[in-house]
Amino acid sequence: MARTMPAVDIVFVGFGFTGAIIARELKDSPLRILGLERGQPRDTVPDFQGPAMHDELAMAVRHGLMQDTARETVTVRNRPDQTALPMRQLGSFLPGTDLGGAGVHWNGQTFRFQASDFRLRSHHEERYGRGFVPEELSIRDWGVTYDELEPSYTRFDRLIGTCGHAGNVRGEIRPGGNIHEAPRSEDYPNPATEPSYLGAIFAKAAMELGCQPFQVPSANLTRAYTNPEGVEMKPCMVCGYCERFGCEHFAKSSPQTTLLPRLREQRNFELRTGAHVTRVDLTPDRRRARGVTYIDAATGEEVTQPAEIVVLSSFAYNNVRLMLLSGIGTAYDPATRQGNVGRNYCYQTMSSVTLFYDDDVHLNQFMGAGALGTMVDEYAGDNFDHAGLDFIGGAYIGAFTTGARPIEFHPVPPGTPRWGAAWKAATARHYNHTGAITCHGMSNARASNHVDLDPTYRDAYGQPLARITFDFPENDLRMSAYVTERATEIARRMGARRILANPRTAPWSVVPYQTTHNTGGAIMGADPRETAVNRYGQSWDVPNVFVTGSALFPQNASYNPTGTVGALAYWTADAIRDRYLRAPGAMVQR
Amino acid sequence: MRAALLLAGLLLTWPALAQDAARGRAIVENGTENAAPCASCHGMDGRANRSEQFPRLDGQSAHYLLKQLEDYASGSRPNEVMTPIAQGLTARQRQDVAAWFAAQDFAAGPEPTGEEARRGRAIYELGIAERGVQACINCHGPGGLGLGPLIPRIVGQWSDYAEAQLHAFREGTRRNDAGGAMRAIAPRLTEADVDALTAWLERDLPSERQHGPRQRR
Ligand SMILES: Cc1cc2nc3c(=O)[nH]c(=O)nc-3n(C[C@H](O)[C@H](O)[C@H](O)COP(=O)(O)OP(=O)(O)OC[C@H]3O[C@@H](n4cnc5c(N)ncnc54)[C@H](O)[C@@H]3O)c2cc1C
Ligand code: HEC
Ligand code: HEC
Repeated sequence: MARTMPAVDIVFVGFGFTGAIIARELKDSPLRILGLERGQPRDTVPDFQGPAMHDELAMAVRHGLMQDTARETVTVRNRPDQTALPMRQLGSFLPGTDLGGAGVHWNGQTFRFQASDFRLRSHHEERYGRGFVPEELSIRDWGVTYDELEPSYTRFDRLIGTCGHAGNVRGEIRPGGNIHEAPRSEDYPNPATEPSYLGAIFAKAAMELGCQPFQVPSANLTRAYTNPEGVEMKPCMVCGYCERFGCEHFAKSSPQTTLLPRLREQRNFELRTGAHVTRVDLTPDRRRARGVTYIDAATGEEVTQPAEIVVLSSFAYNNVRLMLLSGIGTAYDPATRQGNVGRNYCYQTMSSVTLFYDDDVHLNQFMGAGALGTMVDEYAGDNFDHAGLDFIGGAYIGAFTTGARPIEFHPVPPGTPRWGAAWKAATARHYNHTGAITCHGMSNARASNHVDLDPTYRDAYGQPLARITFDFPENDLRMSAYVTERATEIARRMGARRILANPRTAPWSVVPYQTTHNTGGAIMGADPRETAVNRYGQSWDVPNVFVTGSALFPQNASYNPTGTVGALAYWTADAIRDRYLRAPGAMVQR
Repeated sequence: MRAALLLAGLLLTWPALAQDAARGRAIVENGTENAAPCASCHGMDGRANRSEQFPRLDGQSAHYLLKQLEDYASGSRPNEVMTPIAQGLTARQRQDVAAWFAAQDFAAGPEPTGEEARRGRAIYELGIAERGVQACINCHGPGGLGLGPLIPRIVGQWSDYAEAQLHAFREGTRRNDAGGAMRAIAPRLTEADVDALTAWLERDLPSERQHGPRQRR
C-alpha cells in the first residue's frame, strides 16, 4: 500500500537549476512548495572540497557526480528501423543526479540564443524564401521571442553573475564583446575572463581574418560577487577542475552557490531528497494532475504526493519520459508524424581542429576553467549569409582552456602507436604543446529524431527507459563541414606545426563525449497537435503540469543551452505566479 | 636509474640558483646600505623567532617570497618594518634574498594534539559550511605545504604572525591576494577559528622542543 503524504500546492520533480529558480520565485506566494530530488543532498562544504574533489579518476573518468546507469539510463539508436540498446556507460552526455543536478558539474559557458533562433523557420523563409529550408528539417518557431525573454535572460545573468563583455547593449555596439548578439538591456554583472595563452593566439589569428573575437561568457566568476538573492560567490582560482567536478571555491555558479542558501530559509519550501518520482498521477480523463508518485530511496516504499501543480524539472529527456509514463499528451510516432510528446529531439553538432605545436610553445592549459575560452560568432546561426550555401545554421568557433587534466588529456598526432614507449614519449612531447579549436554547432530537428519509451529495457524500478532515436541530419553535417573549414583557416594562422581537422561525421555515437546539450521532446510552440507545451511551458493536455529545461527547445541553437534554460525558468515562474495562480487553467486556448 | 636522472636534473639547474642564493646570503647576513640585515629578524636560516611577529621564511616558495617583497615595495602590502626594507632592495637583490630563504631546509616538529588544534585541522580540511568558508586545503594544499608557485606554505608558521595576517586580510590592510581570495575568507572566521587554525598550523622546531607549550592570550 502506498503511503500518502499531506497535500502541497506545487511539487517539483527534480531539483537542479530550473526547479530551484521557480521555487525561489514563488517565495512570496501563499503556495506550499515541495522539491523532490531523486539523489542525495550535497553542498560546497563539505562535499566539493579538495583534495578529494580533484580526483580525476573518480569524478571525470568514473563519473562520480553523474547519473548511475545501473539504476537508470536511456536506450539509443540512430534510426527507427534499428533496435535500441541501453547506454550502459555514460559517454556522449553526462547527465547529473543529486541535489543541484548537472548545474554542479557543468562548465559555466553562459549564452543567450540569437533573436532569429526563436523564429527559426519564419526567419529563414523571410530572408531566403520559402523553399530554402531543406525538406529534411522539421524546424519551427518557439512561440516566444527574444524580446519577450530578454528580461528573464537578464535575471538569470544576475543570478549566476555571468562574466563577460557585452557587445550590444540596447542597440549600442561595443567592440570587444559579441557584436552579433541580440541587444542586452544591461551589461554583464561581472567583467570578462582574461584570455589564456591559446585564447590569445586564437584571437590574433581570428582578427587577421576579419572576425571579432571575445571572451566566452563565463559563470566561473572573475571576482567576488553578491547576487540579487544576497548569496555571495568567490573568484575562480583557474584550477582546471570544473567540467565534471563540483567547485570547492564557491566560484562556479550552481544551485548551491546561487539559490539553495536562500531556499533553505524559505518558509513555504520543503526539499525531500532520495525521492525518485515514477509518474505524475492524473485524473481518469487525463485532463488534470493530482500529484506524483515517488519511491522513497531510504525505505523503497511507494509514496503518493498530492499536489495542485506539478513541475517537471528533471532534465531534458527525463521530462519527456515522465510525460509518456504518465500519459500526458500523445506519444509521437515518426512513421505517421502524429503525436505531440517526443518530437524534435536535438543535440549539438560538435567538431574541432587540433593544433600540435613545437615544444617551445608552452600552452600551460592545466591553468584552466570550465568557461575559459576565446571565441568568434561570425559563423554561428544565421550570422553569415547562407544564400548559395546548401545548409542552414552554423557554429560558434572557440579556443577553450578547460584544464588539460593528466588522465584524460593526452593528445598525440595520428600515426602514434596506441601504447608502449613510443606512445609515452609522444604523450610527454605533446602534452603541453597541443591545443584545440571547437566548433559548437547548431542541431536541427528532423522527423526521425525523437524520444519515446523503450519496448524492452527497464530501470531499477521496472519502468521503461527513454529511447533516443538520433542521427545528424544531412543539413547539419554539411554545416559542420563548412564551419570546420572556417575554423581550419583560423588554425592555419595560429603558428602550429601541424593541424588536424575533425569534422562531425555520422552516425552519431554514444561513445565519445560531445555535450550534455540534449534538447527537445517536450517542445514549446503554438500548435497543440505538434508541440507538447504552450509558450509558457504549460502542458496543452494537462494544464496543471509545467515543463522546464532544454526539453522545451524546438531545435537547438549554436550555443550552450543553460542561459536559455535559466531564462525560460524565470519566464515560466512569472507565468505561474502572475497569471496561472490568478486563473488556474490553460493560459493559451487550444 | 630514475634517481640518477633526477640527480642529473638537479645538478644542471643548481649553479644558477646557487649564485642567486649566495648573493642573497650576503644581504641576509650583512644587509645593504638601504636595508637592515634580514637575519636580525628572520634568522640566517629563516626560522625567525616565535616570540616576535616575525614570519618563518625557510623553504618557502621563492616566487611567493619575491612577490611579497614586491608587494611591500609597491604598497599593496604596506608594513612599517618591511616596506622600507623592500624598497631599499633592487629588483635583483629581492630575487637573491628570495632564493636564499627558499633554499633553506624547512623543518617542523610533530602535529600538535589537543582539542583546539583538532578543530583547526577540521576547518583546514573541511571548511565551515554555515559561514561559507571553503577548506583551506583547497588552496594551501594537503598538510598546509602550499601550492607553488604563488600559494604559500602556511604549516609551521608562527601563530602570532599567522594570526596577524588573518586579521590584516580581514581588515583589508593586506590586499595583495589575487582576486581577494583571503579577503573573502578571513572576515568569515571568528577569533576562535583563527586561534584554532593557527594553533594547528604552528609546529615546534625540532631543536626548540625545550620551549614547551605556547602561551595563549
Ligand atoms: C559536463 C557538463 C558540462 C556542461 N556545460 C555546460 C555549459 O558550459 N554551458 C551550458 O549552457 N550548459 C552546460 N551543461 C548543461 C547544463 O548542466 C544543463 O543545461 C542544466 O544543468 C540543466 O538544468 P535542469 O534543471 O534542466 O536539469 P538538471 O540540472 O539535470 O536537474 C535535474 C534534476 O532532476 C533529478 N531527477 C531526474 N529524474 C528524476 C526523478 N524521476 N525523480 C526525482 N528527481 C529526478 C536529477 O537527479 C537532477 O538533480 C553541461 C552539462 C554537463 C553534464
Ligand atoms: C626589523 C625586523 C625585520 C627585518 C630586518 C626584516 N624583516 Fe622581513 N618581516 C618582518 C616582519 C615584522 C614581517 C611581517 C610583516 C607583516 O605583517 O606584513 C616580515 C615579513 C617578511 C616577509 C613576508 C613573509 C610572508 O610569509 O609573507 C618577507 C618575504 C620578508 N619579511 C623578507 C625579508 C627580507 C628578505 C629581509 C632582508 C632584506 C627582511 N625581511 C628583513 C621583520 C623584518
Ligand atoms: C582560494 C584560495 C585560498 C584559500 C581557500 C585559502 N587561502 Fe590563504 N592564501 C591564499 C593566497 C593566494 C595567499 C597569498 C596571497 C599573496 O599573494 O600574498 C594566502 C595567504 C595566506 C596566509 C598568509 C601567509 C603568509 O605567509 O603571509 C595565511 C595565514 C593564510 N592564507 C591562511 C589561510 C587559512 C587559515 C585558510 C582557510 C581558512 C586559507 N588561507 C584559505 C589563498 C587561499
